Amino acid sequence: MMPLRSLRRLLRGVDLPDPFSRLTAAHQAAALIVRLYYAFIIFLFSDDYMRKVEEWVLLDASDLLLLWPVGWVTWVGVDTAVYAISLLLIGGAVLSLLWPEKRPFRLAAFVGLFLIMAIENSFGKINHSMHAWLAVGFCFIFLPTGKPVNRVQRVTYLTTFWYAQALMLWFYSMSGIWKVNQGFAQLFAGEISAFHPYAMAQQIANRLLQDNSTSILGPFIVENPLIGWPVYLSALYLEFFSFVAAFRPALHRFWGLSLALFHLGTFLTMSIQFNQNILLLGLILMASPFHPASWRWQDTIRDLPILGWVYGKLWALSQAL
Amino acid sequence: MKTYRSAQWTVVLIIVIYTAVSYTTTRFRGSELFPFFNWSLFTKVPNEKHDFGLRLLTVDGEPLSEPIYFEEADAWFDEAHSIVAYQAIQQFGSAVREADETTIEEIRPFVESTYLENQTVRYELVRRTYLPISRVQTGAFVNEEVLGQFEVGGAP
Repeated sequence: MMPLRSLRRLLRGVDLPDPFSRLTAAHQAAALIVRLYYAFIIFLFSDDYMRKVEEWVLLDASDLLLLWPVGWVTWVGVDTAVYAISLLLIGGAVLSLLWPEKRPFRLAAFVGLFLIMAIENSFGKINHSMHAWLAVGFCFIFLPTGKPVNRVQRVTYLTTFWYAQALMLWFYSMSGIWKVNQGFAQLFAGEISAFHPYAMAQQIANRLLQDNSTSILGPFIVENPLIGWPVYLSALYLEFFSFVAAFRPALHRFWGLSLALFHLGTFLTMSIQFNQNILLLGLILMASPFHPASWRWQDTIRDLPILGWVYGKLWALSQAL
Repeated sequence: MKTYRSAQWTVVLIIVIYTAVSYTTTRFRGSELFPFFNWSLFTKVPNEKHDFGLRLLTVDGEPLSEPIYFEEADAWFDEAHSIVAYQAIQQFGSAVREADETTIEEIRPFVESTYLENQTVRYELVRRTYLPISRVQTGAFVNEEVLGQFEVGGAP
């Protein structure tokens, strides 16, 4: 574990107490979040999938471009498969809600979600709105079985929970790393890049043209590209450094809220909804069990990657003067 | 402590495998392998943009006064504004451009049955080139190249 410990020390913030010092309270909070995760799975099924299931059962397998996990649907028929998958998902989620400490129930909920997502994405395009839910559900399979009775088990529980947070934030960082990498490539090629004042307007215009849709703020940004510039750079920063935020408990709430606002922004400008991610950000980051007990807003500012360092220098300078 | 260490390593392994698989499948396979995704979303800022569109010539056997693209045809098709339909049309366009008969045989009936709703339609598959902001403001394309003309539903 030495390399992991070194990475954690490298990326973590300064002068914050170890999150595991509040071990019992943090474990109780994490356990509640895990339970709520399965409650929200039931909610999402009821809110979204149930209506889709009604439509899917009327389809023939030849109407779908079946993804590999549901290739077997051609053998049993779409209706039988969809009903069986729904039962597995709901059954697994309900049982996990009641007994979240039982791994087989969490596994059943995960497999059900995995398969229903595979059906949902067998229509020619893969939608990514539930990928983070699936990833978090996968991490939760590895939570310790049974009720933790000692410190090691609670630490194991919290560590696994933290990995779910880190994996979700890693997804955002992957997205940010691609954008920054491509941004430099386009910058050196003399093109409008991610750092260009018109970047956001270009993205919005192209997105709205794809399906001839409109958005509340998109046309305004397209007509006034400079207004979008600081917003776009902020979004780049937020995505790029998301993984670092996982290592800094004082950033969890701030980052969760900022990413939720980022999704709200993509809806207002590009008409892209990521509501499911907003819900998940609220659940595992804004309600993070690792949020420092004695939090001050300065802790969050100081822990911001690069900007926190600048803030620290400016603060020291102001004190010296 | 053994459980703690194995849990740590298992999830670290998951993150590493997820990243490696999502990267390599997209790079070498050309498309994502569900549920792995490299999260490359809106990575490239579109400058001069190329895409594919279905330009409708007749619907229900009736010639249109002016050909229109599928995404503008919400008077006839429920999925006209669907981004999923747009993505499927891109697959169709790429397959035709690369003369990939296997994919065409799969994707064309899918597009026609799902998005053209098996109506009697004659349409052109067009490769479009445009500058996004300019097209929003003026509607103008830099270029429109017709890749083929198709009929579905026994158009006269």
